[in-house]
Amino acid sequence: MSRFVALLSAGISTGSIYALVALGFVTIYKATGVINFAQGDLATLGSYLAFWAVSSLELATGVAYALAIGLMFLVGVGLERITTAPLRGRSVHVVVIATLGAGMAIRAGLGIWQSSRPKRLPSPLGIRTVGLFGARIPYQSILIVAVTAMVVVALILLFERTQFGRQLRALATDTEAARLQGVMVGRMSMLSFGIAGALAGLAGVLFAPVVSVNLNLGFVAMLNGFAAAILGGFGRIGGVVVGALMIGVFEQMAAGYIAPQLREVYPFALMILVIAVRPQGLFGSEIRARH
Amino acid sequence: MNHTRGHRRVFAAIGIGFAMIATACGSDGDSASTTVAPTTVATTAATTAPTTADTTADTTADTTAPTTAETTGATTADSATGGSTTDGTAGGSDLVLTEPVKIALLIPQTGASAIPEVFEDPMEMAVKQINADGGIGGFDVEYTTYDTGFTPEQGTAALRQALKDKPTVLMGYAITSQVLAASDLLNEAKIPLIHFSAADETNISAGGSPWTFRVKLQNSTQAAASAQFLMDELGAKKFGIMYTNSAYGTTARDAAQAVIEAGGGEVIADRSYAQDATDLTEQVLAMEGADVVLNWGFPNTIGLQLNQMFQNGIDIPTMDSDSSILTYENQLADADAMTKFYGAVVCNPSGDSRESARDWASTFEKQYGYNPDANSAFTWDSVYLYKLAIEAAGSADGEAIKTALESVSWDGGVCQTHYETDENHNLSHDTSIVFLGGGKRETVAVTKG
Repeated sequence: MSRFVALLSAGISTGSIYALVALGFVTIYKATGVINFAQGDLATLGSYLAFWAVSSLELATGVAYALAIGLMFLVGVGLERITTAPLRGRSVHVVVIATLGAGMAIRAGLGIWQSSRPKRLPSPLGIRTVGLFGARIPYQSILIVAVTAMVVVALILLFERTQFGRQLRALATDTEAARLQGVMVGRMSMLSFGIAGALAGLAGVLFAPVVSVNLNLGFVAMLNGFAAAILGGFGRIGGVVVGALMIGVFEQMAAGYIAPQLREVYPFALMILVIAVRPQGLFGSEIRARH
Repeated sequence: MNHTRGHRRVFAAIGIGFAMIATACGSDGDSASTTVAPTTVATTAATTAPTTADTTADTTADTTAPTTAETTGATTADSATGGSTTDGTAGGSDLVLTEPVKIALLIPQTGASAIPEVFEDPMEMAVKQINADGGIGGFDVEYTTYDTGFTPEQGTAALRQALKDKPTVLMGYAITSQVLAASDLLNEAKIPLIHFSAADETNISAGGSPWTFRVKLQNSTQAAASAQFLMDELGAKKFGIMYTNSAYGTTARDAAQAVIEAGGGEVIADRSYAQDATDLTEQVLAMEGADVVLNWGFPNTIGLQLNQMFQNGIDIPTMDSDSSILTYENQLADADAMTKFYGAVVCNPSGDSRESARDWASTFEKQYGYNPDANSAFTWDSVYLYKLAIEAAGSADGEAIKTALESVSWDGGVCQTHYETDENHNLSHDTSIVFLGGGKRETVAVTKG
């Protein structure tokens, strides 16, 4: 039982990180139709900013986290100005490639700024654990799940109950019609990139104390976050979160009870299986193309 | 707004592409691994009286090349301190060259895992020291760094660029596939390469270029020595083994397992993981019941392993690879998780029993701001090995330098206490076992491979 609980909690925790990255994908996609492949590197950048704030500015951990997330909002906006705004009107594939290039540039820049040596970002909770059915659950895992849950609720409220959310949904439904109705596409695009940047920063500062600050931190999370977004239906927040948790838990359970050496394959095996049966994802209706 | 199914196909294709990337990242390098016969190692406590030297036979002495008096100059033990050398070899050779010795340093300068300074800094320091002592053959030594990246293609491109600049000797290449990919070029260029790769696949007996010499410890030697130490010194019988799913990891696993089984021990858990793994819960839980854990990974995953073992209440000693030093120096694991943490390394200069090595480490740290690891120490030593070989060869001719390197026997390094070339052109043979924890980085044993 303890083994099952330990694997389940690890799955929920990693799934929550995938969810934060996937929500960044979805937010930008809703507003612009673009898939931002710099999302993983933004998470990496967030962790480095937090490390810098702790080690160089000597800020308290919580303050450093908050500063990093705030800066990542601005970085997201800047990314939109560089990769999306100048290319508006061009094929969405061009913009997607631009985001991929931006991600690589971020990673290279981080290497120059902070070197490739891995670093440790402390957690305010340390590496302490709490017992549950014989398993030891790290407080950091509980923090990750709790924060992700709060973010999901906040995003649902933002998208469903605010003017911003209504405009975002209008854009997601029909860009031209929304524009004609007065929705400011450029501003919405900037805001969505900013929110996605902050989400990536949050994922980075929550994940880094577990895996260390390193240049590859966001890469695996991005791969699995993208799989989660597809699995969940790419567009529905609830669906994406469920998809991310499914991937995280399936990855752990299959590694624990089937074949551990295939662990990296499981998220994508699950994704391929689902889209083979239900191409629109578990909770999606249909995928929209923007022109 | 059009609603089409076109993008669905694009997304699916991208997703499947990611699946392939993830699979490739996690692909097992077993095809490159070999079954390694039990390696006999002799364990000699560095800080205490020898304890287990008589339990195993030291086979190296029988197979190594004879010593050449010309290359046995104990020059850099003095140089290691950063002070000027006083013997007749450094700067005092009768050798006269027609042009400066040019060293091409081939290392990854870019990429997520690149830490170029650990090679560049000791190279700079060694060259400055040699030049301050009079250079080689009447000229100051020159060096140029070339970015090899991490792929065989990048490595070969860097080598081609280096060869255009007509170097006297080559140094670097930490990636096995790059060393192997460079074989044809090296054979054609006839210029020696002292490389930093650990994998057994670059052995000359395995088809590696005869122009290559390995200054780093052979991976299987190091892993076997680790297992032997755990059995002899910690009395381990039940082993848990963790390793990255690459040739680096599987070769180490095979070598360690052979030693464990030959010694009457048992591997109760065998778990691989991806090099960029972000969670090791399953692997760590599988280690329950073991006396010790042997993990052959990289700094990030070693830190993760230590923290997760602590969090899951698995309080047993763990022995990790070369990366253990970086894990410790960067505090990638919590201090509470590093109370039974050992590393198997080619050397540990700041914790060496020799004063000359410790002085060198101290000088290096003052100059560059960090405690040098084995990479820095064997880079320094490689420069001096070339100096000795060129002086012994009496010329800058590649063939002559190669011949001199083949008969090296040298005690003046800051990394290994003794360098001696074997039939596979391995220069290093001793594994330092380092205890890392409680603020200590202490060499507790040196095993003779």
